[in-house]
Amino acid sequence: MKKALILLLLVVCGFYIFSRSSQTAKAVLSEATTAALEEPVRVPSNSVLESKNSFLPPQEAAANSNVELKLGIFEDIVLSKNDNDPRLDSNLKYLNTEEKQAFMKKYFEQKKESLNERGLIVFLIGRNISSLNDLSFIKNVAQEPECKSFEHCEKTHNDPKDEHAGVDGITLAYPQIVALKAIGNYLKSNPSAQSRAFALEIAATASNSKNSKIKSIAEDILSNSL
Amino acid sequence: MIGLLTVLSIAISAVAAPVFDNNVPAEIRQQIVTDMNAVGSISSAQASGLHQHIFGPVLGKAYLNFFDTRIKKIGMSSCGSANAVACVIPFLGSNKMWLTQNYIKFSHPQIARSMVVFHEARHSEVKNGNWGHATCPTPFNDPNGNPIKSIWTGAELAGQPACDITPFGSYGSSLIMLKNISKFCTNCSEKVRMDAGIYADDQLKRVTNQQAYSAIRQDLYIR
Repeated sequence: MKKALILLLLVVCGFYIFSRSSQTAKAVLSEATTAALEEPVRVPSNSVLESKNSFLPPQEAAANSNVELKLGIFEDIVLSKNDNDPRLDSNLKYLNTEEKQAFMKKYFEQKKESLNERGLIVFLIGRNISSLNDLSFIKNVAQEPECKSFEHCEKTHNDPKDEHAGVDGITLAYPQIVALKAIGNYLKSNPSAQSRAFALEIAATASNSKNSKIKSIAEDILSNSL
Repeated sequence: MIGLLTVLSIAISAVAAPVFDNNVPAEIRQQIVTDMNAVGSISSAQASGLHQHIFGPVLGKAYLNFFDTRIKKIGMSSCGSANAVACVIPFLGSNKMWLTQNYIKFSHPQIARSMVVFHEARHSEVKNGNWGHATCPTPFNDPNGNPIKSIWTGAELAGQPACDITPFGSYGSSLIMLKNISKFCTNCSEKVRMDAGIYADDQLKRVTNQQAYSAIRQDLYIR
């Protein structure tokens, strides 16, 4: 009887151990499958340069993602229209690859007329360019068609009064100008990067823009970088 | 809530904050108070000579004092333009600033709204002829030799009253304010400093008198 009880106990323990290891294996398999199925957010790009090769500093590559938290802070700031929110330089100071992808997606979800919001996203990504994918995003923004008026980017809105047209002109091209500023800073702080030629190409293309403000900023970048 | 926001503004300024007309929507009141509080929080240990002359130190309190001593009332108007965000209309009272619905409707960076508001505040100075604009020269070209045109009509600005011939006018003073913020503000966000530099650099083109232009360049652009 005693032997039977011990045998029964051994069988129960064995079954329990087998069951646990099987669940763990399923969990690992499930994670792997999910990861394989999840498509990374792709930014429209027409270049082979959309390589996964990154020049991430190790600490950034290892940083934990806080996508939801950071997007939430972004939404807060957008709602308040307060560009001087200190969280811009603390919580949103560094974005890792996954967070950048989420912000790139967010960029294309914004209306074209949301010029400051779009520009803010370009600023957040552009101040820490760390991969060719980042540069491709910046390139795409810099080459977007110009926004013709505040209410409808596709429609021209004639206004004979010109007192603040200088301010208006900068705002209408704000995402593109921020993209170029990011390129300028990147070239300044990465004098020997392999991707320098790509960054210079972005500025060179912008220097042919019909928009005089974009053209002028791009020309300044080129004259300071060549 | 609005009363609280107004009191908040008053608390920072040494002078009484402007009074809002009843028809100024709550969202617009809140936005300009947010913007003025952002300007009012600016801190720095440096200022350029021209800035010191016009505003005093690069300090929030100095900016609010500048604004509140000039603007006593804030009302709503179209400002005679589909794209305007703010204006001063001297014949309707020089110490009143008019805001338009575009103040919250259009997606300007915060520093751009502030630049317009401080530009307009300069226009309130009756003793200085409201710092009326100067006629832009003919030809009126950018540093690369291209004619400067209205972004709205495409017409050249040569011969139009859209320039300054002194660093102290509305264009000159507001660009000096922004360039100082860009260079010296110690507690502004990186974005605000970048934006301030972008808008200031562009507006420098509107200062067309060579002596005035050189004075600003010497004050802020040449190390």
